[in-house]
Amino acid sequence: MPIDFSDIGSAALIAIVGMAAATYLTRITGFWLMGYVNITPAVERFLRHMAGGVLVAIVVAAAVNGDATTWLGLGITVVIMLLAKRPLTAILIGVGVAALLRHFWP
Amino acid sequence: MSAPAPDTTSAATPASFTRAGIWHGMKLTLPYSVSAFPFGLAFGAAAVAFMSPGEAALMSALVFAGSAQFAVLSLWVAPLPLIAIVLTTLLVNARHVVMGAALHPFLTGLPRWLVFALSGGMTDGGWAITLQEMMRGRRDLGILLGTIIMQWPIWVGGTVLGAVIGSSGLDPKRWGFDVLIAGVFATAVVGMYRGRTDVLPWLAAAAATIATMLWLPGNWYILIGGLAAGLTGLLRRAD
Repeated sequence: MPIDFSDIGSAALIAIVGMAAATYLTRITGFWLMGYVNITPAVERFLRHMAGGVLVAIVVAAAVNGDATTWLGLGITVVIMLLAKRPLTAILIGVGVAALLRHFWP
Repeated sequence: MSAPAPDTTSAATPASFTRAGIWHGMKLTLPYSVSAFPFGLAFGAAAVAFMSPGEAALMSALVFAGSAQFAVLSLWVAPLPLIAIVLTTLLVNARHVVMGAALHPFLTGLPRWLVFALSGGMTDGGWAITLQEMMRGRRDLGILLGTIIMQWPIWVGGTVLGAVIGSSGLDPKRWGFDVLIAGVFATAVVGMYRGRTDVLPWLAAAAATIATMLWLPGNWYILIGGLAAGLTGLLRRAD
């Protein structure tokens, strides 16, 4: 069965265009601001740590909403990433372990 | 046309935009885009558990920002929380402000419209490649365009293919997609680690996230977790 790529809801379209505009704004703001003011080290520190914090928040929320298999898969992913520094390998093994566990103990 | 290689290290000389630079950027990005393809596949496959294949493909084409796209997946439940989706996108992509600011001093003498047009396609990888080349003295904005040419089709194509695979009726939870989505961010956090000054802001983010999830409905935890980390990082004196 061919997959229909023309099905785009109007609310989804608005959300996607909103995301695109927000992303574009962040991509030009650094260049634009620097034309007028310098981004101080304090602002840079705030933005850099906020970026990390947002990612931490998403991971923590996924862990809170997940089950023991989620925790195990995520834990394995983090450990492999720490040891091997290879994101794709780490994620694939973490996902593989979670998928196997759910396959045999659904 | 072969570009001359004048001394462009001094910020007083204008930066350039050449075809040779575009080629150079494309060549440098090749290994990166090969490794980015599976992430495009993963996004497409995970996304169709939440949205239509067309919406996933359109998002990759227009937004072109992997982290933000993965981040909004768990918010993608009808009726779509538009404000939360756009706000999350802003927060996840706020790092671009610092990245653009770092590139700015190298881009003297280029037309503003060109810089504004090309920065619309600036990714983490493309930025890192461009900045590194510019710091070495090759101040050619063509490099950034080269990184975009090598990444955009791969990201969109990966999403489309992933959406086709994901639409074959597999159960996302059973295939560990929750670990996949969270794993993208967990590995990004580990990769962002620069030293012990990062630990306290991240712990603050984790604590604020759990507290927010306990006491507030909705998706406020992303905003509050991010702000907690940003403020903690700001209040520390030295980096």
